[in-house]
Amino acid sequence: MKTECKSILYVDDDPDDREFLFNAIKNINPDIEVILADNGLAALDYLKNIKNKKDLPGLIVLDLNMPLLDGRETLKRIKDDPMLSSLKIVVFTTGENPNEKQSFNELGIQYISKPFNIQFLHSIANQMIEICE
Amino acid sequence: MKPDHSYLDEAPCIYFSAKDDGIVVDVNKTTCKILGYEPEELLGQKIDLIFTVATRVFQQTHLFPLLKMQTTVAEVFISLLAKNKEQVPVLLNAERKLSNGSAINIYIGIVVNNRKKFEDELVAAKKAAEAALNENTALIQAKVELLAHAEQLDQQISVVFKQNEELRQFNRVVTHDLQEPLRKLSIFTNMLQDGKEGDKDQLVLQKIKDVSARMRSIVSGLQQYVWLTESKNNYREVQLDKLLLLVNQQLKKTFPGVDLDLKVEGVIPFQADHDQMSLLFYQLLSNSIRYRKEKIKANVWISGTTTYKNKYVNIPRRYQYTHYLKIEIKDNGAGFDPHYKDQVFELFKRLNVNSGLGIGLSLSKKVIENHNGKITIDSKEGEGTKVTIVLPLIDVENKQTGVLQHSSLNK
Amino acid sequence: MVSSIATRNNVRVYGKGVQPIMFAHGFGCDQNMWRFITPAFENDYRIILFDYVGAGKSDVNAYEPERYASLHGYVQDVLEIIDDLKLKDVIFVGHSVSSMVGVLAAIEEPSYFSKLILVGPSPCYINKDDYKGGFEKKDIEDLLETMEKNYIGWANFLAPAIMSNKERPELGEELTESFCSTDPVIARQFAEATFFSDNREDLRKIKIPSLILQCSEDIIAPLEVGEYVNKNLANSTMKIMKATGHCPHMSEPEETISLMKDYLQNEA
Repeated sequence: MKTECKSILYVDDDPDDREFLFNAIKNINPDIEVILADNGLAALDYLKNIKNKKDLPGLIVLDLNMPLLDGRETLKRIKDDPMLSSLKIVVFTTGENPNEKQSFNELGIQYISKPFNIQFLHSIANQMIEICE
Repeated sequence: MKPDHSYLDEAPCIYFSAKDDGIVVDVNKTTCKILGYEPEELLGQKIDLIFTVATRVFQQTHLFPLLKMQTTVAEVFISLLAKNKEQVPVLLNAERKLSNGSAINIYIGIVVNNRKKFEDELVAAKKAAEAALNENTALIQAKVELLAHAEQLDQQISVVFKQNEELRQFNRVVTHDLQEPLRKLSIFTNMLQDGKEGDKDQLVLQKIKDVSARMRSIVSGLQQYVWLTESKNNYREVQLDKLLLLVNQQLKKTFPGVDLDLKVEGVIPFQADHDQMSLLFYQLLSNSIRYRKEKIKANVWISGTTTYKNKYVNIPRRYQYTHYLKIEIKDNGAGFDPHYKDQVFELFKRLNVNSGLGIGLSLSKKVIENHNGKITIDSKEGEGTKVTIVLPLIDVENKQTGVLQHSSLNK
Repeated sequence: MVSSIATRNNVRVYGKGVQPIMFAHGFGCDQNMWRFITPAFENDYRIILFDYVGAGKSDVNAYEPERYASLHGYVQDVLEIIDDLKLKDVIFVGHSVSSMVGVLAAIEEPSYFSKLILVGPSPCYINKDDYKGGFEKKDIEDLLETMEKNYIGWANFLAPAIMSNKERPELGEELTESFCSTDPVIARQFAEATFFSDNREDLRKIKIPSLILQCSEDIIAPLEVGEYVNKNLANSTMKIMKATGHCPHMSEPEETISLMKDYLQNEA
């Protein structure tokens, strides 16, 4: 069932990557709110402070290798929280580890590799918006 | 007043009784005769008078507790002390009786001179058999080789663990930490080629330079790491305060304008590779400076003690306790969440976005592993961090780990 | 099969409180020595009792001569128990040689302990140079001979040295219900490890607050020795007891309890 994609939360410690994906999403649909967090703790803070269930992001894009609370740990905490466990999540990371990809897929989480060229970001952003809806 | 037990007086056995405080309440004639005392010399005296030192100790550590808990004790072997200082071996039964709220301990026994002689022979024979077994040269040789193998095995297991760990970390670095800047390079050069950025070209070029610099430092960090895995320890006596003077000079260059207040106590000179130790302390002190709370000052306290640990780390049921040096490096910096205290030793693991390269602690751990030691870290956010290092003390002349001939310990 | 630490050391944990207090028996008997003391602490503390390997109802098959030849093996028992139970800030009550075991353990892992209570401590029993430990070497050798000739609850006297208990399981089952076992081999080694130890240097290495309970007329830990410990152990308080002998926790439990509680309340 398609719903509208209102907001996407993107968690990544790299300022360049944040800028690239932000722009890519906005280029496709400027009405989507893109919330940026530069570490797992800030992301969790943001999520826990949302009062209205309707305001929860339609998709969370999670970088895996971040300092302090890394993507895997952040993911676990989201899944462990009953208020947040049903949120859609996509993992967005450098490198392609087939074992890891499989274990995320088994959890129903898509695993997307960060591109080496900005042009591919467009189709990746499209993919993400589709998952969000 | 002496209770009436005339039959007991001359009975062929040792008989005496005493209160809990050790005062003799009763003793029979036979006992007095055997020990060479008159009854008046023993009644009212402390029972320690007729006990040898060993028996006094045994009384305090075994007899008294046994009687208090079980009220009865059987077949206990002790030595009594006669007036002429001769020792009399006795096999004793004892009973503790409570009357009118106070306790009295009753002891009876027999002198076992012959039995003791026989037992002495038995024990001697057993010891001789054990000695013969021990002196059996073939057995000794086998034992020596076994010990050497055990030690080797223990070290080899450590090496394998280390190598697995190194491989895992390298893997991670290559598949992620190096790929990341490469990916960025690719993105930024593509951006330039596309020519869409226009006036932002200079910005993109700067980013390319930054990313290249980061790659260089990652590779340089890896080189240091590899150097540490391949280098052989060049053992020399390290005097920590002298070493720290040199390290401090390096730190002043890296962190100009920051005053490092360093207090060192109790670290005895120890055998180690000088260059590796310099690297270790440089890294640890850099961290303390980097995470300091005050703007221009950092406080660090370094203290050392000697302790004992089992030399065998991996093989179970093998023990040899040897001397170790424990060094604690404490600072009053910003600290970090102790939940990560094991992760911080991983290559390129950083705790926050503004950290350095994230290699200092991995290199430190390598240095300590090269010296067969152990390093741990603990911290409290807002209060400071403590690094604990434990190093085996080596006497290079004896080439035997932990045999300490150091003068400062034999005071 | 390797037994768990709880089984190996016959560990008992009980008590309604949260603050852990660990009682360590000394040379001679086992955890039952504390039975007149522990009831007074049951309501407010979490009590930990144990037997060193080779004593009481510990797993005698886990006895390793190499390990227990010196006090360090016993120190390891204590640290392993604390580790296994994940305890912190333990109040350690050690009798006789266990006092020094506590000191050595606190040097290894200061964060495990909050206070030490030392009952009849001695860092060295033999007279050396100017130091009066109370005994001459000959006295200790006599004591070792006494240990060798007592078989209260013996397990493996006649087994030759190279044979371990595992090959003679029927011997292990013959351990009698005696609470002060004097297995001639193990007890003798414990006596050796205890009475030939010299840990005077180690007293200076810790700063954890400690209480020294010194008995009057204790031939094993005489007054001069208690004073030596008090002088060299930073942050220590010494209380001279009315109790005589070496086991005030058995002979004068009320005085012992009262001194312990006073100290713990004042130091809190």
